[in-house]
Amino acid sequence: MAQKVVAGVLKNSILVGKIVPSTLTGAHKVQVPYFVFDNRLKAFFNHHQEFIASDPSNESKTGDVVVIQKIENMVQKEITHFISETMYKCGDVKDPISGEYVVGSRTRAQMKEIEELYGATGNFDYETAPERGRLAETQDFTDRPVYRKWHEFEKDDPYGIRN
Amino acid sequence: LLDSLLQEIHRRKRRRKMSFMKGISPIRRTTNYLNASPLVLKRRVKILTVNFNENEEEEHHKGARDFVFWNLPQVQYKNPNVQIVTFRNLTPSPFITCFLEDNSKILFDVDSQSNKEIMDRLVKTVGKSKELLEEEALASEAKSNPANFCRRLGFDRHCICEMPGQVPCPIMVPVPKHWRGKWWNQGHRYEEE
Repeated sequence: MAQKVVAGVLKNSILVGKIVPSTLTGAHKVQVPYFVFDNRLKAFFNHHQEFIASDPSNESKTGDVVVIQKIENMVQKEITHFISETMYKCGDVKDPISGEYVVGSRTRAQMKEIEELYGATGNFDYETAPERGRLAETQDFTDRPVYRKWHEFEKDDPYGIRN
Repeated sequence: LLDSLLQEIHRRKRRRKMSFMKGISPIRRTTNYLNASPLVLKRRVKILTVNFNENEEEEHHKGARDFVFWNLPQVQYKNPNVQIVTFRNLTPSPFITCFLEDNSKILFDVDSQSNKEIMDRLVKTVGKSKELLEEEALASEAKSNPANFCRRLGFDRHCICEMPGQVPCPIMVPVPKHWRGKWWNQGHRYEEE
């Protein structure tokens, strides 16, 4: 089997990636997308490479889009990068041009205005809602990877799913 | 200019079949097309991020969408070591971010700009100038020309004397005196043997 050549992009000092669920305790697994050119088809194909990055600020969670930077003097062999900047926080995306919190193609302010015009009551209110992450272990199971379960144990592991 | 011409041609010539060129707008998959982009990013640009929305009704994103469809393969082809990432349907306005080596970033707001305008803007701000590209092309040609000599500079041969059939190296076999310019110019040709 021929040795696969590591794409030149992955040797860059800075990379952009998304934090992916992992079982690591002190670091995050970051999935970095990059394009590989197929010489025969003359087209680019999407590939992913996962890096283990430490988080100096301890604020990043799974789903955040981050910029990771290569560590010059590695303490641990596995941790090759550190998270230098969070581009988009999962669920609280801030538009860098206007500086407002944004949901898809609307700002939160626009969404609220539309709701008011329709006379909607009891909708989710971004301003009064508590900080994200309070349902982390109870109902939100995105921090660790899930697996298919084939047997019902006495103690039910929420990370095992049946579908 | 080339890619806008190609877009026109593609729209008009629908009858012509390109046999192995499968997929939407397969002209994008030709080496000539990929090489046609004027955008070669400066060395300090490491990441290029494009944010746009896919909804056809959002006309102000059309330029960004066209840029990603027509021009992004060209840019990645010319800049294989730049990480290019697209983000779809994240924000209401389209923009392009360039991350530089020193962790700073350049933000381009491309709301309602055509893909040609976006391309020109990028070339002007973060692209290598045409003169620089021409110089680099010349320099790389000199490097790859097998007709050049000098092992020290990386070429294969140090001198023509090492090719069979050529005059051997004067270190090994002295050159006949009457072949030398020194002999000719010092007047030895007028001497009688």
